This record gives sequence, structure tokens and C-alpha cells, in this order.
Amino acid sequence: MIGEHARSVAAFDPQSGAAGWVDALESAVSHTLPLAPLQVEVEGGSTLVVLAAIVTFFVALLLSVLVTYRFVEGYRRTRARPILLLAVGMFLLAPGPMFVRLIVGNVAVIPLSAQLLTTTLSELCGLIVILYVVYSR
Amino acid sequence: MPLETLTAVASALTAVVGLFVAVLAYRGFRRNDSPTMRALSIGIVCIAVVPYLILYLVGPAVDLADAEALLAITLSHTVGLAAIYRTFQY
Repeated sequence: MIGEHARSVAAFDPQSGAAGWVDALESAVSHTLPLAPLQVEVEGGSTLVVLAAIVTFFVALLLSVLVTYRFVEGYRRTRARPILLLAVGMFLLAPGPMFVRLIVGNVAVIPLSAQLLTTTLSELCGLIVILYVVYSR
Repeated sequence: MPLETLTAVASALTAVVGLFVAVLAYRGFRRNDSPTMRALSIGIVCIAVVPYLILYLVGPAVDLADAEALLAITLSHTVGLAAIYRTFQY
């Protein structure tokens, strides 16, 4: 490939002006870069559904952080212990597992079953904290 | 006990506890006419119960693709969280 590239550059004729440069560059590029267009392959469903799932995941992640932040803000304003517990429960229920999915989902070393168990246990702990708050009201 | 079985048990337990919290919150809404409790009830159902139903019941029943199940679950999360977030505007 390098030999062909060198030959195409060597074939450049300075007398042909700008058109000659373009031809020579095109020739060089076509010899050095793969011709296949950029492609993204999607597995597990249609591309549109996968994109929609990714967008809604990030919307849900943003909302979960906002909800947790509002609970923390409410606790800082009122110093009421149930609101602090709701903040902890909400964090364990929504943004915590979502961040785990986002980070661990991209690390191939950690098996999917371990990721699922971690997120499920986090959700369970969050629900138990919220249950305590609701039950004691 | 294999990790998959443990996860399935923990998922089922999460759905049951979620349903129980949602019922308690709904009863709190009925007793005190509290919109916060109603939103918490809807939110918990959408975050903890509906994803379990999609993953273990609806998904296999209607043969949902992975991406479709994922979209349904994230949409459910979004609806639940939006319901809770709305209560902060009061």
C-alpha cells in the first residue's frame, strides 16, 4: 500500500496546476484510507428504538438526580430527618443504580449478572428506606 | 445459589416491596388527600414494579426485543420520576 501511495505521489505532474493536486491527493487518499463508509452496527433491536432508549435513559438519569437534589435541598432547609431518609432512599432507588449501569455496563470485565445483582440490591435497599419513612408517618 | 437465581429472587422481592410501599403511599394520599403521597405512589410503581413486569412477564409473553424492553423500562422510569418531580412545584 505504501508503495502504491509513493507511486501515485510520484506520478503527480506539476504542469497540470490545481486539478493535478486534487487528482494526486485523491489518488493518495484512496490508496491509504479504507473505502468503506463509516457504519455503526446496532444489536438487539432497530437503530431508532436503541437511540430512543439511550435518550430516555439519560432523561431519566437527569430527573433522578434532580429529584434526589430537591430532597437534599428540602432537608437542608427544614432539617427534617424523614426528608433526609427519602433523599437516601431515592438515591439508592434511582440515580445510584443508573450510574452503576452507565459505568459498569461499559466495563466488559464485570459480568452482567453481577451488575444486575448490584443494581437490584441497591433498589431494594432504597425501597426499604422509603418504606421506613412512609410506614412511620 | 447461582448469581442469576439470586438476582431473580432480589428482583421479585424489589417488586413486592415496591408494590407494598406504593399501596402505603396511596393509602396516605386517600387519608390526607396529599398530592405528594399520590406522586410517590405512582413513582414507586413506575420505578420498581413496572420494570419487573416488563422484564419477566410482558417481555417474554409478547417476545420483546432487548432494545424495546429497555426503552419500555427507561420510559417507565422517566414517567415515575417526572411524577415525583412535579410535586416539588407545589
